[in-house]
Amino acid sequence: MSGPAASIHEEALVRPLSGFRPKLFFGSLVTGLLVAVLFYSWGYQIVNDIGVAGINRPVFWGFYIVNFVFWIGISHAGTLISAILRVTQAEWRRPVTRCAEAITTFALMIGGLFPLIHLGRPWIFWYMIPLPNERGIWPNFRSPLMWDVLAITTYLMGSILYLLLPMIPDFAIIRDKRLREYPKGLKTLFFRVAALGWRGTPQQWFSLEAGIKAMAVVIIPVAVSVHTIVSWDFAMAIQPMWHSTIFGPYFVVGAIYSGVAVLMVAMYLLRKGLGIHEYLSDKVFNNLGLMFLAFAMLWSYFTFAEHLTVWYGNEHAERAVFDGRITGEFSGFFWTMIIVNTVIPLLILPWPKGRKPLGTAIVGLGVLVGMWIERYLIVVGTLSTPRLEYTQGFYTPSWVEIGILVGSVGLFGFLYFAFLQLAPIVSLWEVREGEHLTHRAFAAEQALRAGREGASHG
Amino acid sequence: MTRWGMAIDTDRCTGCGACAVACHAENNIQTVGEVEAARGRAMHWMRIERYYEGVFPDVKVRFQPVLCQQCGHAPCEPVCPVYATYRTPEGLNAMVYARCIGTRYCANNCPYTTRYFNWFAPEFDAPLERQLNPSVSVRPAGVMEKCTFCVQRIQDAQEVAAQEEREVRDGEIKTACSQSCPAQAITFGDLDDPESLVALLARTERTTHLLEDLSTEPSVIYLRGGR
Amino acid sequence: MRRRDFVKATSVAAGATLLEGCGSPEEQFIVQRVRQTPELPGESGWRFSVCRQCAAGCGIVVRVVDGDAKKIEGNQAHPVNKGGVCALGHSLLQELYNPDRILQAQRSSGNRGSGAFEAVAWDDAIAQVVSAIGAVPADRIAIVASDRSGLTGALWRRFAAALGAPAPAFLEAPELEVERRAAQLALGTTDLPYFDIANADCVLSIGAPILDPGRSQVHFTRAFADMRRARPTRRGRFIQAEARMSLTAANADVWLPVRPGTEGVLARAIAGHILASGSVPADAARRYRVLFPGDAPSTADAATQCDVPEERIVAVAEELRTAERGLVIGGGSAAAHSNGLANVAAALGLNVLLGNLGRVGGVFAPASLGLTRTVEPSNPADSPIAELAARLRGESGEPVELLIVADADPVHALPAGWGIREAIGRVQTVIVLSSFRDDTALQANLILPLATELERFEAYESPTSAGVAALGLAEAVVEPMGDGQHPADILLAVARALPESVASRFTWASYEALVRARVGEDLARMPGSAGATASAYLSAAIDRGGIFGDAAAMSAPSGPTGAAPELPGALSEGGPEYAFGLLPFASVKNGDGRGANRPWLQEHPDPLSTVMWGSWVELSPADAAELGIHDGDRVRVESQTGSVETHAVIDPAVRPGVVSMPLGHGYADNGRYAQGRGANVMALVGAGRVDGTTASAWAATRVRITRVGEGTMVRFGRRYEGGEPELIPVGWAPQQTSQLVQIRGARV
Ligand SMILES: Nc1nc2c(c(=O)[nH]1)N[C@H]1C(S)=C(S)[C@@H](COP(=O)(O)OP(=O)(O)OC[C@H]3O[C@@H](n4cnc5c(=O)[nH]c(N)nc54)[C@H](O)[C@@H]3O)O[C@H]1N2
Ligand SMILES: Nc1nc2c(c(=O)[nH]1)N[C@H]1C(S)=C(S)[C@@H](COP(=O)(O)OP(=O)(O)OC[C@H]3O[C@@H](n4cnc5c(=O)[nH]c(N)nc54)[C@H](O)[C@@H]3O)O[C@H]1N2
Ligand code: SF4
Ligand code: SF4
Ligand code: SF4
Ligand code: SF4
Ligand code: SF4
Repeated sequence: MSGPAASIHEEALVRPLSGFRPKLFFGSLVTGLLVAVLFYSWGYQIVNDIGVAGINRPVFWGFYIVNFVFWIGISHAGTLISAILRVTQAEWRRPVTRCAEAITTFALMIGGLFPLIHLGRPWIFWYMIPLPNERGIWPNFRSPLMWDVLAITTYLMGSILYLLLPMIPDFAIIRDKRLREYPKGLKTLFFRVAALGWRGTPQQWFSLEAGIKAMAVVIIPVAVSVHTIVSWDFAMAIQPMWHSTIFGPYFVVGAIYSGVAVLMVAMYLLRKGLGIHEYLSDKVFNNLGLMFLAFAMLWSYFTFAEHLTVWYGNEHAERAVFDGRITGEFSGFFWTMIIVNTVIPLLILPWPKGRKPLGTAIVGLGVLVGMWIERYLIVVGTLSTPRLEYTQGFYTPSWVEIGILVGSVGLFGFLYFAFLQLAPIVSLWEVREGEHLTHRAFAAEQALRAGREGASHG
Repeated sequence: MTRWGMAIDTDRCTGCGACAVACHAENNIQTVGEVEAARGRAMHWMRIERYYEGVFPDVKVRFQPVLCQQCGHAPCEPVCPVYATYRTPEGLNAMVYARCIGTRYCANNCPYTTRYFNWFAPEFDAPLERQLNPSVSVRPAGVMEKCTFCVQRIQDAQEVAAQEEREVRDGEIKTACSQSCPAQAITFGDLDDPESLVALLARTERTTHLLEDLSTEPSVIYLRGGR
Repeated sequence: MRRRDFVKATSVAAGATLLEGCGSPEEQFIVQRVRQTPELPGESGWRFSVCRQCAAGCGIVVRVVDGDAKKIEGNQAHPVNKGGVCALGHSLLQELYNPDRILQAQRSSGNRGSGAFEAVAWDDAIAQVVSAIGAVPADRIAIVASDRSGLTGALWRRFAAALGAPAPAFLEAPELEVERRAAQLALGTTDLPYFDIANADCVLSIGAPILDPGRSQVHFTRAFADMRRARPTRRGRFIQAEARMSLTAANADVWLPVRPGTEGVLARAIAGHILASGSVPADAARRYRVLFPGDAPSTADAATQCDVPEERIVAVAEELRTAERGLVIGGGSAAAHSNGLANVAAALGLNVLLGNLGRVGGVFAPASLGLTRTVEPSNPADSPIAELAARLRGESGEPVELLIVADADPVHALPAGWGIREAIGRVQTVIVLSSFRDDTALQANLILPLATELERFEAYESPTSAGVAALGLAEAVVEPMGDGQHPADILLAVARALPESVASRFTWASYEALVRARVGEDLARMPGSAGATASAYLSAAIDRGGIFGDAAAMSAPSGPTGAAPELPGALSEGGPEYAFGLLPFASVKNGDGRGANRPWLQEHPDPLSTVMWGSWVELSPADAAELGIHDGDRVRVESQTGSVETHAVIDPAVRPGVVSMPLGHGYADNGRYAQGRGANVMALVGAGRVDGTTASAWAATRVRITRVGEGTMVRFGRRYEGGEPELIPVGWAPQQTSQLVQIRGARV
């Protein structure tokens, strides 16, 4: 036995890992096609030059940077949330961590792809890597883009580690199961390798728990730093409505907000698709819904503060961007964002009925759209309104940019479907551990009660 | 030390745009064609901004030639992740085309929007390429570019001066735009030489800078119009 | 070998040939094409040349590397441009290396006008011209050329006379005829006078678009700038009275947007005000009455007629009167109404009142080297271009069977109302000297390509804008790209192949030989020639880019020579259903169309509208709102004569009731950059003429405008989006240089 005893409902969790599963197959097929769209569009752009995108002067950054910020934001779904919950020992976290951490890892991979897609000459992206060279030329560590490179790489490594570590005992569970059922299968071999020789010895358990705890503590500041640094891509610049001191925390809050949103949507779909109501229970949705509500309020507060100071300060160039959002050509985007990010969440989430799976998923979907718009407003709204009014411009994305955006969503789905077929989406051992702890506590209570009763009779 | 600078007299400038075409000719700047120009991708290292003031019939037009201001504290420089743009000891904001990976961060952070990007590789319908200036490289796709203060002309003059074992004389270097200007509105020279014409102009009552409040310390000085 | 030594060597050789050639046939004189400088590969040099992209004829220097022309800059020594070059001048390089340039003679190979041509050998082409001339009666030949004033023009006159054909017509900006005629009346000059703008304190320009391209943009821009800032204690002021916000008006200190066609009323009212002030010397007043014996309209009348507040007219008149050096110039669209002659005469006449004749900051007589003297027939008279048009239409004179067009595009440039486009198809033989398939060349039986000025010996005497005589003189600076030649050399080649009676009058082996011979003959009259031999004088001249006169020789014009026509109201073509006055104009973008086939200029934003790659019509916000037209929309512009489609530009500086469109767009071919781009405004202009002249009244057409639909217009700068234009660029802070920028030395 590799850990605590199996729970009665585990079958639903391990079922996707073997055999032909039509839902998964179909999902992979559709998302796989979207992945093809992504790589076709990107390939087309590399062959025909970056000009096939719709960006221009003065809107030098467009969809790619919007998507970059968006996906990096999404990546705050898992690692950070699960780490916070782990550190605070929130028991209800157990079924949520794995599916959240997977979101982090995949979103980060996709987010990290976008700066490459965005480059004019992606084939020499490695000039940003500090490789020793005979010319003695180093990257410029004063550039926030370099901070990005470092922060995102660190976060990605950390997240992968943080995702993989708790999966080891689960791989072992499945390995053991498969060794009994299909000892010769290729997939069995995968699980044998992935389990890294896990035998569940006390020493192994001790090391694993220590590793997970350490990672949970380390990953929180890393995650906070990542989106702070992403915000500094803007805040370090002197462009109107970018050069803001609150961008760091504002972006972190926005990132977690969008992270929770995607988690709500993902959990809803997993619960429906895999039939795992026992794990992703209403209680889990309710608790996460409360967290969602907290971030909805935080985000709205930051947005209000940001716009109030700009309006009150009334600096010419900033007001031009501000007016573009409130009443100008971006007002449609802006007010949609306010509705889906502030109005709807604050109308639905405060009520326990609103925090049921369907309610939170709908709010989550809206918030995802709203958070994408927020980044679009920041990037395009400012760039199209530069200080010298003569150079003001506009931006219309090309099919390439749209293809890559849609493709990136597809890639995310594809990776997720693949993941569902390679690991249980709910951590088996952690749930078992939780149940075990519950059983033990129950047993101890029973024993105590029994003892007391015996004593009183004696 | 030398610090190259330029004074543009807006009371002389008529907005004729000869400087902008001169810059195209001197610096091998591509023309992007109608479709690309419509997408906001035309490249004019030197552009003539036109502003209206007032209402008809009391409407006034103002022209303002804008090129890279060769900022002393250039916001475009620190943000470049690969040192493809940097400040030379003579106060130029230089571009190393070979290093540019095309992040376009520098252009975003230029408050004067004077950076231009090669969205596509330049094309010169044969035999137009015979006009290309051999002293200036043609920039490939994916690379940022902008006014260089005609660095090749600065270097040529410095070489001649070095050969003749003397200092570069004031007025000896003319950027392509200042050479052409029918109004002689553009004066180029060394701001650190108190005797130079540009330094003299920089000390007049009419001196002003573009977006002075940003503390970018531009090396381009505008002489205000009017009396 | 240094360039200077080389120039000496070739010039000495040339001079020697000339001397030897006295009396003997000059056929030995081979056209000197390019000086073969023995350069190291990659070495670059600068060579003098003359810009022939417009009539100004600026002196230029060309950077040549490995035989290719790289860059054009201004010749500092040339009095016209003093080192400046305009946008069009730079783009000469893109004519030289234009991918669509015609490098070999072309014969029409399908229906004429279909655009199908085949290459012909140069000698065959010349033979074809010769036989075409032989095949028609001389009086059925018509010649259209450019360069009215230079030696080339003189050669064409000589050629027509030798053939016995009607005198050639010259295609130039139509208002110049009016301006010349007005100057003759008001100032007594034979040609356009010289205005000393640089030294004036207050310049009133009545319609003259001196800072716009087309006349001598570089010269006038420099003069304008110097007027403002070259003198330490005075800053001259500039007042533009013009219905359109031209580039000139945009730079003026004061803009009076007068109702089109009332410019003369304004000028006369100002004259009345000045006369009434009593400050005019009796003699000046008397001379002025020669020009205008009648009473001037009151400023109140003028205010109503011109639609400008009276106090502004009075203020301008006072400023002009009290200025130490007040100067008045006139022309442009003011000259292009039916009453244009009176308008310009009224403007120029003010100089008589202000005592400007021959004064610093005033008006001077034109200057010329007089080289055309013995080349021209004794009594040179040109055919007015309107008369030629009438001949082509078969309405007067002998019908045309052979049309020779040299370096001009009348089909594009003349008003559609003159019917050239239709008439030219009926001419049996059309021979065009052109390097591009412009609208006239498309109609040709035979196209003879031209060499650009960089590929040929060039000598061009600038018209008088510089005040002193200025003959740009240069040898070829690059090898020719093809067979093309100087129009004068083509003329000489044809003439020599014609029967003896004609050939004997064209004994010069080449245009260069002619120029050298003429300078040699008149050496004593040439500025700075004292003690020099002809060859030394010429080589020195080539070494500095030309022969330039002396400012000391500037002379005063004689004054009014007769009465100007009184001021009738301007007539316009088109009834009340045509709500707008149409003002065509030349933009620095394409110029008069010469720049249309050059990518630099197509992509060069028009300074006011910032449009690139196409044409547009400028509308006032009020008119646009009434018509439901938005900025960038496609609109139809219709006149009695024609109709075109283009884009609308809504511009807060447009006078309501007036619209304007740039020249030089809408070619059927003319190369890939020009083909099918924009619309030709001349397609709208009617047949009207300026009274008392033969010139087209191109500002007299009325049009109506209708919205066609949405459009995408290519703009470089931000467009005007309605509301009040408030746009003063951020950063025009009134404060002084900030302390942040350390500049050594004290403030001056
Ligand atoms: N046609 C021609 N050939 C020549 C010469 C010539 O003048 N003309 N000159 C010769 C001489 S003298 C020399 S020294 C050689 C020079 O030959 P190369 O060394 O090939 O010189 P470059 O092409 O200037 O630069 C090489 C590459 O370095 C890249 N680069 C820029 N920064 C970095 C960096 O930080 N890291 C890395 N890894 N790469 C970077 C550039 O993008 C470029 O692709 O050429 C020789 N060959
Ligand atoms: N922008 C930019 N600048 C660079 C570089 C770059 O990549 N980009 N590369 C740098 C490098 S690596 C180098 S090596 C230098 C090269 O810089 P330079 O040494 O200036 O090289 P070149 O321009 O190739 O040649 C110099 C001159 O030598 C002449 N020459 C040729 N043969 C002979 C001869 O036999 N005798 C004499 N006396 N002269 C001769 C040529 O005509 C030419 O005028 O440039 C450096 N500068
Ligand atoms: S060339 Fe001179 S006058 Fe013309 S736009 Fe440029 S600076 Fe102004
Ligand atoms: S003007 Fe712009 S590109 Fe030029 S130095 Fe300043 S910030 Fe950089
Ligand atoms: S576009 Fe080029 S120069 Fe600009 S920041 Fe990016 S790498 Fe540097
Ligand atoms: S200084 Fe040179 S590079 Fe800069 S705008 Fe002028 S001509 Fe262009
Ligand atoms: S004004 Fe005319 S002659 Fe002078 S540079 Fe311009 S196009 Fe050439």
